[in-house]
Amino acid sequence: MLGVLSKMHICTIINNRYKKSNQAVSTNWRLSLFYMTRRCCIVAILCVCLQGCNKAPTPLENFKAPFYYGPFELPSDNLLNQESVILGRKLFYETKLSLNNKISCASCHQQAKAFTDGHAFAIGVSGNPIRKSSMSLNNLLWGPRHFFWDGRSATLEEQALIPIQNPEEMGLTLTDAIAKLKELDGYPLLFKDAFGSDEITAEKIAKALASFQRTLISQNSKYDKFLKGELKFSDEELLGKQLFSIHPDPEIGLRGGNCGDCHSQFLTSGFSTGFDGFKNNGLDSDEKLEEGLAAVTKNKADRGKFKVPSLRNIALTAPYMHDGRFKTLEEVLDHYDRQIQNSSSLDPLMKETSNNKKINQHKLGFYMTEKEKKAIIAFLKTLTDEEFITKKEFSDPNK
Amino acid sequence: MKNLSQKKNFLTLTNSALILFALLLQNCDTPKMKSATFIFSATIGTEPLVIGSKRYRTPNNEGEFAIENFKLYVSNIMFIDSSRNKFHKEKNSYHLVRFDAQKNTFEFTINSIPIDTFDEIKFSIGIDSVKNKSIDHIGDLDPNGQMAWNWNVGYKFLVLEGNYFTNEGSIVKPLVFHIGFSENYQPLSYDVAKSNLLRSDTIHFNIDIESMFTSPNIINFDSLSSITFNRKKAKLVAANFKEMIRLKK
Repeated sequence: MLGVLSKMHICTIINNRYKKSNQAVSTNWRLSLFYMTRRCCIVAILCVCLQGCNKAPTPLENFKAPFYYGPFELPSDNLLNQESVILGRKLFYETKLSLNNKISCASCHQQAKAFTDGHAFAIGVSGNPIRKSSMSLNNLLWGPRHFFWDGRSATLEEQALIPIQNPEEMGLTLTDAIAKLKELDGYPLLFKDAFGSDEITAEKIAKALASFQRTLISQNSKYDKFLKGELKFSDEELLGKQLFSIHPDPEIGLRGGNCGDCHSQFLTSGFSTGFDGFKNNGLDSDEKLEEGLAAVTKNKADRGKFKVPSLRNIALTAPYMHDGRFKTLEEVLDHYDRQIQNSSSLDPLMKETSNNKKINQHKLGFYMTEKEKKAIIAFLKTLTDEEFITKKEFSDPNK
Repeated sequence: MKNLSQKKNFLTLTNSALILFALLLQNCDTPKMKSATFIFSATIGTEPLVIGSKRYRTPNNEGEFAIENFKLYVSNIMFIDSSRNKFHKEKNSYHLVRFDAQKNTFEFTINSIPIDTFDEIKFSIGIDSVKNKSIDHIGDLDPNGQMAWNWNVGYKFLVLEGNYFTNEGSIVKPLVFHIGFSENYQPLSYDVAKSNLLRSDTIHFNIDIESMFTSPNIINFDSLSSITFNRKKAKLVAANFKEMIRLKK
């Protein structure tokens, strides 16, 4: 698109040329207006012609998000547009972006499982298990602004290229990835539509993948409909929602599961500022503690801290935790209830939360009843979004 | 051609005069906009706050404690010039003051202040009752943030989390103070020396975390190491907010 300065420059050129060929310039105002209008028409036509050669990106259609998710930011060099999302979606499902031509991003992030894969550890091109569980991709415009379980990527763009190159995952160098895409039908044109030129670069691959992933918004679960007043919860679901957000205080008889002190009330993810959304939730004692966030911050106090994930569609994303150690939601609740392991970086909230007044403080745990745990699970199941896991715009474009 | 040239000169002169006139008007009618930067330091008594494993003497018994998380809302900031009966209230005035590892200060700048002198500053700890139950994103209010309880109860006004090491040595009790509820909204007021604001002025405050547990109510970690939804106990700590933030001169 021509900038304002360019248009002014062309107006000046036309003015000067016109003046040279017409020595007798009339001072009649109507005639002057006619000449000005004709000049503007010429400029406008030129602009349209030039724009046709360098098409502007198209804004996304039907992009919406609930107001209770809050505002979000986009990187200034990767604003959302339709062409970039189309390209990103195709790349997301592209198996040629792997050494063996069989693995795409979607192999470990399957739409039907809310973009997880149902395994504790995925198996990539190497045939060895990847030592972390595939994270669900949803609502990535919000929540912690660091990606991977240990938060080592500060942007989605940075994150997108890492699995492609990881010899355990897709095992392809960026040079080879670019070379393959150049030879495949359709990609040069898609890159041209999205970025203005058919040159394929790693940066553009990353931007397109990030753009597509940003559109994966889960916002139409039973919980969302409840929030919008479109339906009512059952008594059990209501109890579960209440327990989810209450920090128990046995002295005043207040019972709760305290999920809300780590999982936000609407997004259900970790918190977005700094590393607020990374916690040690008592999975291991000091001897077995993994590095976690400490690998990024180099602070020993961050050992064992991992990203608090979104609980949206949690009923579909088993197994659970960074290493997929819990197969069911019941096992997760049992962990918080009686199996919290103490360690030097265990979150104070994990130590303090309890429904039992008389509990010896060495015995950690929330001490909920079976009915309460069932109710929390019933609430968690309301976070399943059928529209999200079937939406055509998120699915494999080749099928 | 001579007529066209004269017309051009006339237009240029007229335009310049108009622009100059507009600038003069702007200078006469519009007050100069000033800025003020608030800098909060956090201490435990006289020791600077270090988030993480650094231990401090507990104020009311023989033991030590460490702080892993300390945040509070400062809101509804107002600048007052009492001699001229002028004041300015900051719009969307909700600031989450936080102290992260390796940094015991937090600052923010308020721009476009239309009064150039003030002798009093007012603000509050916490969120006023109107906005406390709102789920709008105003200022630093975030219903999906760490300070949000839920939309029925509102926000935590102050969060302090850490560990208490008793004098017996081996026992560690968690410290969890989540102080909220609208009745604990605490307005504060500070006399400041009358001063002309420069283009960017700074005002220093000190938050003494020790006084949160000592004045006027004594909080002994042996008997009270956590407060969340217990309104009676939250009130005990909230009453100590008045003495907690002092102007640094």
